[in-house]
Amino acid sequence: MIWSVAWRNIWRNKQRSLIVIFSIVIGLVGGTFTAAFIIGMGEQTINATINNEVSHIQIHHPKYLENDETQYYINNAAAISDFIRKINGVKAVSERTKVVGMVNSASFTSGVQIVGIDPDVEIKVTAIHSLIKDTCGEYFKGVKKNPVVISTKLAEKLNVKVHSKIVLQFAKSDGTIQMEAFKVSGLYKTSNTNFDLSDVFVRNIDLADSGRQYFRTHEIAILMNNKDSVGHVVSTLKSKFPELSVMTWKEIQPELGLFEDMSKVELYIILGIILFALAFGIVNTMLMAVLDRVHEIGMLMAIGMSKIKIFRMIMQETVLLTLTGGVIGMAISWLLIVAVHKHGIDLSSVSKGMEAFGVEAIIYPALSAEYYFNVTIMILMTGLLASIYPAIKALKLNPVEAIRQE
Amino acid sequence: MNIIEVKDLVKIYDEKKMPVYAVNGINLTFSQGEFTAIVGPSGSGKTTLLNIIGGLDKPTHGEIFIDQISIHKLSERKMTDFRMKKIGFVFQSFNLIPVFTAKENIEFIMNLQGWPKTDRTKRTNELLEAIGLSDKKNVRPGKLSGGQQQRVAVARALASKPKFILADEPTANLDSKSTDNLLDIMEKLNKDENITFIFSTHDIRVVNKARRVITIEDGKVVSDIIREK
Repeated sequence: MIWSVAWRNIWRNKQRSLIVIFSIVIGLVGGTFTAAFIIGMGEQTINATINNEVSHIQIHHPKYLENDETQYYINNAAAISDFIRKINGVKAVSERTKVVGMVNSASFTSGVQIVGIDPDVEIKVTAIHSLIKDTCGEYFKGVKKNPVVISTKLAEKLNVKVHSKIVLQFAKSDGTIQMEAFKVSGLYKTSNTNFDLSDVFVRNIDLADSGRQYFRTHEIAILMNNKDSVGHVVSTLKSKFPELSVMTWKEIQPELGLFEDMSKVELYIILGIILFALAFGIVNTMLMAVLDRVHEIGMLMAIGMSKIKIFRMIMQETVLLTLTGGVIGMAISWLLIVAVHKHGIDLSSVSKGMEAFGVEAIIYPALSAEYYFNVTIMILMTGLLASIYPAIKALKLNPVEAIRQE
Repeated sequence: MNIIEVKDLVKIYDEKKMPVYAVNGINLTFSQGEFTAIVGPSGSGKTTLLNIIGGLDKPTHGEIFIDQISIHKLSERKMTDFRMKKIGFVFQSFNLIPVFTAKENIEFIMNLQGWPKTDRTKRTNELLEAIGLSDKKNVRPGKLSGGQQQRVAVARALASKPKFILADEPTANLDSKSTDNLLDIMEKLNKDENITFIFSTHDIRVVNKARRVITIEDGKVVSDIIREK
């Protein structure tokens, strides 16, 4: 019955209630959409970094990470990879040879990270192959000897095209410098300018020295079926291979981990601030509603409605008012996010600046169901807190004086 | 049998600065089934007396016993509960809940008391029938006339079968036809349900219907006349 009174009381002054509901809706839609934008951007950046660059887990010789020196390779890399492939949740494993070197063209020279891979295995771990446009060659195809895949950005700097020759200069395992001609088979483009300018991909067999002895594996990259099972696999590997460095993507790129954690918290901070501001409007509206009904509240007290029920009535009225705005706001937010997610928000005009931070030009806002649930709880709490002052004001009324007041 | 006993009742407003004796030493008793009018000029203390009897206000001195219970010794929570169960109120300005229909307004107290739905519906229909507003049961107060609203207010006061009804100037906002109609209904309900009615009033028509008339002046009872009807 008190719910019924509370609900009907909201609509006694439709204009006033609608203004509050409207402001809650606007606040929530603005806050939720902004949060979805930040989270969508964060997830895209993280997924792109994992899929194109670091994978979920990487294994190295502990000293390799200090100086990137080629003598610090992983012993028995093939056996370790085979072991990892059998772990539940592991999607793919790739062994990489990594060496710092120089790339030379007729017009430009640049320092690069040369990544030696087995293309057939690597396509299961990274998505570089899918980032080569139709007009930009193919992933290690179309070139018989010494194919290399570089980014379009590096190609522009080197002033080379598909099938152009470039020279890679790097230190061999014995410390001597080797210069080898490679032919560009494909040009990729990620959303990370720094990665594009630094990473060139070759077949690891082509990095062999004069004795036809292959470079050793410096890095084992592991892609999981699910980001959530990373911790479990890492602890398994750490206990199995204590002599090796096993790192998660968050440890490899801590700024990404921070980005992920912060974007989760940011939503609540943004909405917390919005709801805090809205709470003042709700308090004000409910205070007006109480002051408008002093006479009636006095009558309710007189005929036997207890103070606790009066308190509940005002509280329920506030909560219903807040939740009405909240539910509409969340529904509109959801619809808006779903609609915008289909095509994304194209920020090509500022994409250069964004790519410097590894952020894609088209952002797809996204929010999980958990956020909608948590925000609904936050709205409920806001309603409850905002109701306290007006409800206390109602409780302080003296029935005799209240009834006298017209 | 006395259901209300007013003993040496005094109510002083602004006791420290400029004391005003709204009620000044009143002793009264009320029996089951009375139909009593308390009359007197404005400011004589009628409403204050009713408010104190109804437990809405506290006396400065004296006591009110209802069914041998000294009501002003009850805690606030118990007093509220006592009012809900034992006393029905009818106010000058009707004071119905505007967002409720006539039926819901009558059911309200029974709802607060936790009556089962079937009992509530039965009692509400009985009262709607008694006040002649069965056809208006789903109408909100805003769409009822003043007389109809006051009849609903009387039905609400009677709904939970209280010991007595306190009606403060119930006809003050009604025209003569509505007043006669309301008084007839209240008199009938008083007889049918044997519920005590105590009015404060200026209205001579109410006085004429009353079987007992108490006159108050300056917070004191100046006459208490019981009339046989």
